[in-house]
Amino acid sequence: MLKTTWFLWTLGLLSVGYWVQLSVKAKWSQMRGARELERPGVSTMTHSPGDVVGRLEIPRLSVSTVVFEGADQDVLERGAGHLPGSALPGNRGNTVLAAHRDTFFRPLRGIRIGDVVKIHTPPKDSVYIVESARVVEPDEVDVLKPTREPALTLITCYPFRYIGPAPERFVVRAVLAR
Amino acid sequence: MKRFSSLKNGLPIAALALLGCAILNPLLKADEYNRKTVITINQPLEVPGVVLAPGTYVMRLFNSSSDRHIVQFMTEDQKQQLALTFAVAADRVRPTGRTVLTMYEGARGEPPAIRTWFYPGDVVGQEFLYPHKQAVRISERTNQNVPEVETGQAASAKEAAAAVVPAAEPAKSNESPGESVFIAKAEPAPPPAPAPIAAPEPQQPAAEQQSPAANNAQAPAEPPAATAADDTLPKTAGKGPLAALIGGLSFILAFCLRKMKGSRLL
Repeated sequence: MLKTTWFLWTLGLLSVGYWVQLSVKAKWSQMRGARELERPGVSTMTHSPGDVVGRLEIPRLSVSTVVFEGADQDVLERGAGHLPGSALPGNRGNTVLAAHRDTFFRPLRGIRIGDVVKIHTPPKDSVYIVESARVVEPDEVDVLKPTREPALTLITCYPFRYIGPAPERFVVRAVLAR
Repeated sequence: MKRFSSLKNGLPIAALALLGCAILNPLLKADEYNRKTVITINQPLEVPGVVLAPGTYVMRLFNSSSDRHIVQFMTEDQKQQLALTFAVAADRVRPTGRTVLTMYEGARGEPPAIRTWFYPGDVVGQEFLYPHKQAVRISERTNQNVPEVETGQAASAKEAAAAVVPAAEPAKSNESPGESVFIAKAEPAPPPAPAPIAAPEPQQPAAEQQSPAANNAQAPAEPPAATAADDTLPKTAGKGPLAALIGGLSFILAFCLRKMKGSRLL
């Protein structure tokens, strides 16, 4: 009995500790990324994993997160990730960004067609308008295909209410505002 | 080298094309039906599904009367097929008397990738379709749209390839299934370092090579292989909430057990 209780306390402490660690890591990475973006002369044309790519903002949903290069677990724990191989924000082609649905992209559940999505990649800002949102299977990689016009694809897990790995993906497609 | 210099001096536009080393010199040994064209390259050239090492190759239309947009890349002796690729029709206003190849220009030491092929006298040529992974990579580094082969096409190409490859020369490698078919003798997708360009014969690369603007390659480092090319979308489930839930439940259970023990229920 005593052992079980101690086991549960230990498990609880470890789990909460891990959660706190992830939260601190995310906050710290966001702060560091924001500082980097504000630094004069910073170039966001780099492609190394973990590099700061820019800042993603959806004003209506109060989303504001630093975007890092890469889409692995480490990057997604720190912020939104720019899928390597996809176009850079503002450029021709399909810019693909992914983030956790239970942290940075949680507000995406309230996205609407016509919403404005801004990406700040010094020295320029790109403004996209949401044109669609849909739920797809994880293997529907068509959404990653390059596009003729500049487009932005935001990917997160679905359903939003899930805790842990969710079975589907929520995909928002936006096009560059003229 | 001498030839390179003279070309540069004579045709300013060539600078761009030469950068991409598109210095392919198709020697025409034309079979009108299959559009057979001999090309000589002295630096790697990316074609759908494979990177060709410097050397001489034969490109020709696959022997199909129903589809005139399947292109074979063969060894010089035509005994081995290196790639079997799909293309779509590409138009030009005026035909020329020479073979014209255009490229997606390479960047940072990466080889150029073939884009279109016009046979002498034709106004309709071939625009090559690339496997998804390769298309994304080329598109990223050149900032241009690279048309992709569709899964259905890839499947039929595989069948065709199986039928065509001579028994003596078995297929060496295949990329991820369902993308495109290639039988690689040379190195597969990861591009090798570039080499100087050989100048072949009667080709006039400048005239119809891509414009410098269109070829404007962005400076990217090599995109990691396991990203957009994966078969699944990124995993975007955070571990934090799950950890917090487990932690919370553990605390509640531990607290309940303690209470129950205190009240001697257990």
